[in-house]
Amino acid sequence: MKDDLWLAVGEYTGNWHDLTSDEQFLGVGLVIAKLSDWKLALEEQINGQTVLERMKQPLQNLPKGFASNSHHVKNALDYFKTQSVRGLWSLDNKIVGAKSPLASLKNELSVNLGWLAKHAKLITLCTYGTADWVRNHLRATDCPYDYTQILGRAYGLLVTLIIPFFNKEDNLLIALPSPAPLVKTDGESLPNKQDDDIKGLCSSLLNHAHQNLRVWQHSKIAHYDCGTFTSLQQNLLRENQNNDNISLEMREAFLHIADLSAALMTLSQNTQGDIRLHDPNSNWHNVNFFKFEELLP
Amino acid sequence: MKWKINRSVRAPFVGLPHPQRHYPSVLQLKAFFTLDNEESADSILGPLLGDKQFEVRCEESWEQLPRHPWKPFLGDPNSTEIKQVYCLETAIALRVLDIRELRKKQPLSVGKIYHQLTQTHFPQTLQEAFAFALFDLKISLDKQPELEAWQNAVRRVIYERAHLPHQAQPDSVLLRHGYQLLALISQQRQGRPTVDDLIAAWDEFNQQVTLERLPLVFALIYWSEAAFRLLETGEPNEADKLLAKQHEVASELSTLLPYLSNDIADSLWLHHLGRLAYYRGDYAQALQQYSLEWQLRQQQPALKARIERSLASVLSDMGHWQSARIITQQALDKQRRDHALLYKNLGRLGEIQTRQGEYNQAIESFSASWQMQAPDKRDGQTAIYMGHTYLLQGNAEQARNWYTQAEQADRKQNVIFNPYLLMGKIALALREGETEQVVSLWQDHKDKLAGLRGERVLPAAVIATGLYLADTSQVAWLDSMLTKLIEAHYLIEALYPLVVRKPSLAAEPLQRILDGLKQWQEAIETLETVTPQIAAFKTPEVTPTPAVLIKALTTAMQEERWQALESLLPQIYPMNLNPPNLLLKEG
Repeated sequence: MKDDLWLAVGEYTGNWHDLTSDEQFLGVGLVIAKLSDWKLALEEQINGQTVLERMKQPLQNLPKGFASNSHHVKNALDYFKTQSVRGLWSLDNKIVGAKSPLASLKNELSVNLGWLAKHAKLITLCTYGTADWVRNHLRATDCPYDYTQILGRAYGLLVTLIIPFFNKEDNLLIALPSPAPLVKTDGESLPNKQDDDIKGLCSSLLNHAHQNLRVWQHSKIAHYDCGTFTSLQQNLLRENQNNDNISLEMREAFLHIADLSAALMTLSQNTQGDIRLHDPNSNWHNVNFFKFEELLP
Repeated sequence: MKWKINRSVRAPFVGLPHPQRHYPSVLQLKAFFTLDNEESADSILGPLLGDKQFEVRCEESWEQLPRHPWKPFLGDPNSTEIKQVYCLETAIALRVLDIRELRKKQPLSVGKIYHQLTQTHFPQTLQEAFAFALFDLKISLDKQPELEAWQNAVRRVIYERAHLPHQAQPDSVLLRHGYQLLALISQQRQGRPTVDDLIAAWDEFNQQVTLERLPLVFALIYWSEAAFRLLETGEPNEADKLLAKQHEVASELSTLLPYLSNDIADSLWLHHLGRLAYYRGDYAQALQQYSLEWQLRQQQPALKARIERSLASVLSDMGHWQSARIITQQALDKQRRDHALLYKNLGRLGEIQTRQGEYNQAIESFSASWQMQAPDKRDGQTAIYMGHTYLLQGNAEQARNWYTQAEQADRKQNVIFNPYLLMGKIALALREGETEQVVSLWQDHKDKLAGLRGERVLPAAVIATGLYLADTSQVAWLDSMLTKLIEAHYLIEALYPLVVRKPSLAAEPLQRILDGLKQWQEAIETLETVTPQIAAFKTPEVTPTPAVLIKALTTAMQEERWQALESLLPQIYPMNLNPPNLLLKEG
């Protein structure tokens, strides 16, 4: 496997389709690592189970009515809401000998979130703020209500920040989930619509990042090539898929890990949330949260 | 100067391929020198300057720094590079390096220039240049009482040749020795030291020095002053010996600091003294200084040309127009390539020609000068001169036209009130018999005219004379201006308003003028002795020179009438913008 192939997998939080509520918490996250490290991460064990296995399944302690096909933090949070669970949590404080479903679920979720938060190779990079800020700063003048453009720009802020620190030989691949509401017909999603959205998203991300990077380049940074952007659907990864056996379930697992990153951000930065992560002595060296305005060139 | 400084931006987190990236930024520095009373242990530049009490500080401004989102990750600049750039900026402020060349290449790369600086005689070059600057007073020193006191002491003792009022004992070793030198010079001016005394005193001074190596500027000043003193006491041959010592030191210093060589030559200061005297109207003192300088510098063409130019100004103002004209013409021939000096000298030539009554030639000179000045940068001065010349020629229409052009040019340069222009306009009105307009113009500017000082007293006095001719009841105003004129050493011009009274009624100012003219004449005679070339320029033509005026005034006093001045008054410029026949009628 090429050692200069990097992968950033994204996830967003909040309702980006509707920006009318000024104080609504919005955010996007990327989990970034070399592709080789991503693969190794999937093989790591958590409580006797590989991460890949863990991400393929819903949270084990989630009541059936709340579980979806695979690992989604949102399912757990929705459940906690129904149980009126509130308060400050620490990922390090496990409830020993927990027997209640709530305590067990909290432990299980904390372990998964903690795994990413303390991971040595997977970098979590997130940015967040209010809908009001997004509306005022990320909307394109030509199509202000195109949420794929807006979301792409938010991801672009994150990519802009890190691009200068790659080698020009490196390739950074970006994999993003479709922002389209999941419309199902006979149990099938609409792949064309999703593909279009992802293309729009990536295109907006690339444009915005390139535009922002001009600031750096205009500052006469010498001999800098910001690398190749692509999406999981594009050729470079397909070649790797063929060569290195990156399966569909691995790709999905990556997206579930990115989902963990968005959850880490929401739970620790959304001051309006019912559950707040509070880890004063945590060892989250590879986790970075920025307000939107901190990243805007 | 602007410098290329590589800043670095840290990666926002570990794990990315590059932990940091270089970010080329530009740092602009402006150095100033300060006394650091609390001797700081980390002072780098103080010891390099040869005095730990001193420190160099720089006003820093950064350009092209990274913006958000990378701004928070900007690392501190490399401390070694910053120290080097401070050192270079110090060298530039002290002109150890070729500033003109460096200016063209901004932003500058630090490494190569630092290498160039430190290759030879480093830090001796910095130390010599800094000590030189402490006496040359051209560098930017911090506004600290100790430094201000030092600059005042140097100005007083070296430039004004006055006594050192108080010998301070500063902690700075350079300043302490500097005060000792000033005190020694001051003391030697009290007596009549022989050449041996002066040499012995220098040896003694050196024995007291606590510095490892006394900067050369100390010797430069000492021998310059010692030579000057011997010339003053009538020992030119002995002065030559000490001057040779000064030359030797100047040559050594110029070799170390080639980009300061002109300043080192300038540091002979005699020329400054002459010019200072000229500007305060003390022509006798100015000529005395130039005479001494002429003797000392006749072997150096560049310096000689400078003395010639300065002499031309004094001689022209003293009525020695032909000499002034020849010298100015010679200067013009030497300066064909120097645009700025050329237009000034053309203006000077035009003024001399006007004084000589050669109006057509004067108009040609002024026209050439006017054309050479960029329209967006020139003020009304040359156009005013042009207007005066046309006025004297009797061409009122052209005079008015040029005064209008002058007004427009002044306005473009934000000159609101120009007394020389008002002087011309009032004279024009008077010549056209518009006496009411004369009074009206004066009334409009009366307060401003009353506040004029220094050389601007002259146009105010010309206006006062015109006003008197339009309205004789304004004699008190004229008298006040006459007093100011004499105080400002406008001795020749002061004769013009003087003649409104009989000689016996103007006895006191007349005597002051006579005494002053006698001093001028003595100075001219000294000059002619040491500069036979200039003496040879004299013509038999009778112009209002000190000698001619002394004779005429003595006759006037004896005859109790001004007839002896009748042919001279119309030649006194710019007073003669007012019709002189009117004055004499009054007289």
